[in-house]
Amino acid sequence: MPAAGEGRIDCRAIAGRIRQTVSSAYPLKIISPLASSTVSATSETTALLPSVAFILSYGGGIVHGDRILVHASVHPGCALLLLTQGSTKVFRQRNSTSKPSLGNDQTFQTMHLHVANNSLLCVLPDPVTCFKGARYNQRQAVTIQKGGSLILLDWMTSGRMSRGERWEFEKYFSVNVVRLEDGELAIRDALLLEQEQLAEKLVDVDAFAYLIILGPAVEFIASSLLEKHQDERIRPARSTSIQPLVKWSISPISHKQIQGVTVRAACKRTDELKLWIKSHLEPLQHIIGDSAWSMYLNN
Amino acid sequence: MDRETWLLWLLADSQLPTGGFVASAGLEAALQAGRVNESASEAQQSSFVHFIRTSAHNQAHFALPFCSLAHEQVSQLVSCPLSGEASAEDTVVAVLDRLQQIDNYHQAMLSSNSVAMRASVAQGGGLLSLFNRGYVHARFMDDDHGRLCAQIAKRLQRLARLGEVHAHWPVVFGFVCAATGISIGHTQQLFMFQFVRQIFSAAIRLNLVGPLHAQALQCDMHLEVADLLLKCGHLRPAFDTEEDVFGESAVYTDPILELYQGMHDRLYSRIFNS
Repeated sequence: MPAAGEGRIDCRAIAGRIRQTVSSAYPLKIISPLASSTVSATSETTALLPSVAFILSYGGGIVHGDRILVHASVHPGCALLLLTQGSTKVFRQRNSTSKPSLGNDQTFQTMHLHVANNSLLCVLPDPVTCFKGARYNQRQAVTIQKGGSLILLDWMTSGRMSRGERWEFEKYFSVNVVRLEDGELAIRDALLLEQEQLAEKLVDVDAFAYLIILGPAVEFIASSLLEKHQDERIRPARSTSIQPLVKWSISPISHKQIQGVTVRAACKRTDELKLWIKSHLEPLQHIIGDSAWSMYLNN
Repeated sequence: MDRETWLLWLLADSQLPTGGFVASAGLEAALQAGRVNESASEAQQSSFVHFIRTSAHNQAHFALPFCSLAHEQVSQLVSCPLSGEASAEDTVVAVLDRLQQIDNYHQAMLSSNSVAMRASVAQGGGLLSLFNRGYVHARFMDDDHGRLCAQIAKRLQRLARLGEVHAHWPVVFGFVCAATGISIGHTQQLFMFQFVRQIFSAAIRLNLVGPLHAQALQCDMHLEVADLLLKCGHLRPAFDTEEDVFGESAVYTDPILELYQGMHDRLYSRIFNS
């Protein structure tokens, strides 16, 4: 029985069928919509057996002091798609007079992800929205074997825009780490945003994303993004051409046993960024099959 | 006048031959993207001032800790009293090993910004060359400490040529300052000073600010940088345990800055390399 806020997802292929086991404890809930392997394994012609899991929190958000810990493993021959339902809302500390330096004053979400050779893990959550006064820490640590593939999306929006709340959280700290099998560190992306000067830094932006795309199964997506970026131009601000809605940059990753790209994208509107991401990940449909893909697409 | 002061002025020279003048630290891209306003008029410079402030803040959190750690490790390891050939070699190996770890960690952090990575390696390599072909031959380096550091630098350069070490700018900077006897406090100040100065040089070349007014703005940056040094001077990147790697000892603080810098190669016409 997992501890409070903990959850496990394990995905493996047994005799040509996918076997997914999940467990979780309040306030975390993990559900698996593709109830058994019979649905997808026989009807799709994908090379990897697909499965989907939704990571949810009771109350639709993460409350201060919560510590969420998710372990997910995907084994050879499988593709696991991790989704959420609705954006991850991070609420502020309940008692506004409490001192900010205490550990239980902050919220932590940690994911330990293991990607085996000849498998694919797609972590495609909705964006994080930190409310005014929130203090949030998020860590994703991936260990990936040679021949494994990963798509990891880490993104956030400015706040409850309908309430006029933009970039009013106290702290947002997100770390993404990718390690190879032998423990060597290939990627460490660590972003710390604090309230001071925050709105100024993000003046024209209401959503931004960081996306990691690694490994052979998604090589096509990585290389076509690289190609597309060649056509991007920073247009001089005074030019009359229309500015693109989504601004993005891309960085190739070529580290011994792992190849791919990382992407940073920003936009004034969350829905535009969402569409942009989904359209660029469209080839995933052929890798994970129609049912899994439509769960992501319609999410 | 003490030697450290003289060296600081040498290293602070904007004409220092390390190739830094081709880097704009993302300013050119931010300018072309409209993030920084083009007008050179003093009244409309707030976007430029904001750029400098957020860049300095980012640098102090992202790169300065690596410079500090490299300096500290080199100073500690090299200052142990030597006795005989065996321990000199041991020291060289120990320092190289440590520098390589620090350098690799910085590399992992730069992996998502290939433009900044390229700039960091180019400038680090430039400074290492300068040390090997310049400072190493200065008379004051002709003592045990100096000769040991010269050996380290020579091997470091060889490792860099073989692709076994990246020789990132903050790591080499920390090493060179420790090797030439500059205190860590002054090293950190110089590191931040030259970063800010580099952006101003780029801004002048991009016609964003006039050279005379730039002096005034640069004076104004003193308090900002002093504040950052107070806040970030004690930071050292930690990477031994998982908690370390999840920690805040080395972070970047402006995602949009990173994004624009990463777009540098998509500039239609440009005068800077990064």
